[in-house]
Amino acid sequence: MDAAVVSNFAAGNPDAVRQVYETFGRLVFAVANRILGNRSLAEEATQQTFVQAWRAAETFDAGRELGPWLATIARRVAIDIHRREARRPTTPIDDASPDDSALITLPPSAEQIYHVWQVREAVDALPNDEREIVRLQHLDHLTHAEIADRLSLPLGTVKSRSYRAHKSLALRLGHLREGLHPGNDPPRTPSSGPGD
Amino acid sequence: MADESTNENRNDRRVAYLTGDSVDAPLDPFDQAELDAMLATLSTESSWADPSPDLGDRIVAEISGLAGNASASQGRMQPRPRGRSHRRGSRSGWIGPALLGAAAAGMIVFAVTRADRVEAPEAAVDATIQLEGTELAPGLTGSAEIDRRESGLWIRLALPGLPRRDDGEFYEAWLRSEDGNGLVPIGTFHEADDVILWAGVAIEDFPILTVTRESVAGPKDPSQGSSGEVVAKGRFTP
Repeated sequence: MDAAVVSNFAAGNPDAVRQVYETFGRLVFAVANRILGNRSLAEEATQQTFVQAWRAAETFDAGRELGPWLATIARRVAIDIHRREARRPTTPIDDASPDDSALITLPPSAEQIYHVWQVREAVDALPNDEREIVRLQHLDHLTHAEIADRLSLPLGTVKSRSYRAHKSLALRLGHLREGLHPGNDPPRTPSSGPGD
Repeated sequence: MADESTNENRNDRRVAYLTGDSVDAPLDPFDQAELDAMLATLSTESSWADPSPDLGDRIVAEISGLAGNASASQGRMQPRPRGRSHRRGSRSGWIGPALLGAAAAGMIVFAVTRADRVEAPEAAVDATIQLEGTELAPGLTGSAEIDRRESGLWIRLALPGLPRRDDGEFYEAWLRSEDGNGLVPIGTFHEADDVILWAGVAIEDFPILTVTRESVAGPKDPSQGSSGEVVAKGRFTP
């Protein structure tokens, strides 16, 4: 992102704030939603993330990428909100759904969060027609034939769009493999040096 | 040319794996782990959800409002009062509630005495370390006042805004030597608005003060040491 935009963001310029939000807002929300599993709380976390980033923007090194920095803030904010919510008395645990985020005791690691960020970024970069096919295939678990039927498209068109979309995803996310080697500890966050 | 062909085949296998088509040769385990992680993310509802359309407007409005308020009060980046003026501010914040509670219990004299014992005489402070938040606590600023005493270093830590940690989670402060080989724990706490710490080493030998996020661990657990999750850091300069 342009250094001038970051500088204007730090000054609270509304156009710059909007530009930063439009570039990273959905990614921040995806990270928060992954941790919290609740749209309303994820929106609260997204808002807090941008406010905290604005407060700290003067200390941001313009030579670095803004995205990973925002992802780090988003993870921390979402975990704090998760802890806050976990302390509130709610429904008995037997009534909670097995995938209730409150039952997840360990928050995703920084690496897992950045993975979510990058997958979302790659998916958002797809053309709409390709993104819709990927969503139907993986989220709704539809076959190519079912997708063709749902979208009223020829089967060949669905297959070719699916191939293009997945090729694009595979290429964009190839660099993720470095953090996923089996048996390797994930890399620590940049601020976590050995010793202390 | 052969490399190009190999890469192309590999990419074709990766795409086939993602689309659920049959793969003519096994993927290497690293590729498979990466693609499995991607498939898991793609099959999660939260990965696809979008925020409300008005969230951007709300964020712009909040930040613009805060920036306007800060500007009206002579700039938000103006350093907050440090050193003695800060200590006076925190003293009033500390003594006020203490006096109130003590008055209710009829123990005013005791409370004042206790406050005076905890508070170092202002002239006794030898040095102040300015602290800055790391990426784990961006924007955080604070200070650590240091007084050399017979018992050791008396350190008053103030990191206002550091989120409270409870339920087996807490913060820990450390002094570290310049070469990183020496690390001395100097206290644990829930929050750091106004914390008194003690250290039995010389600040000249351990000039780096850090605060980390920690969790309760067993006596022989390796995680008894520092977690490495530094939230704030500062350096003593003679």
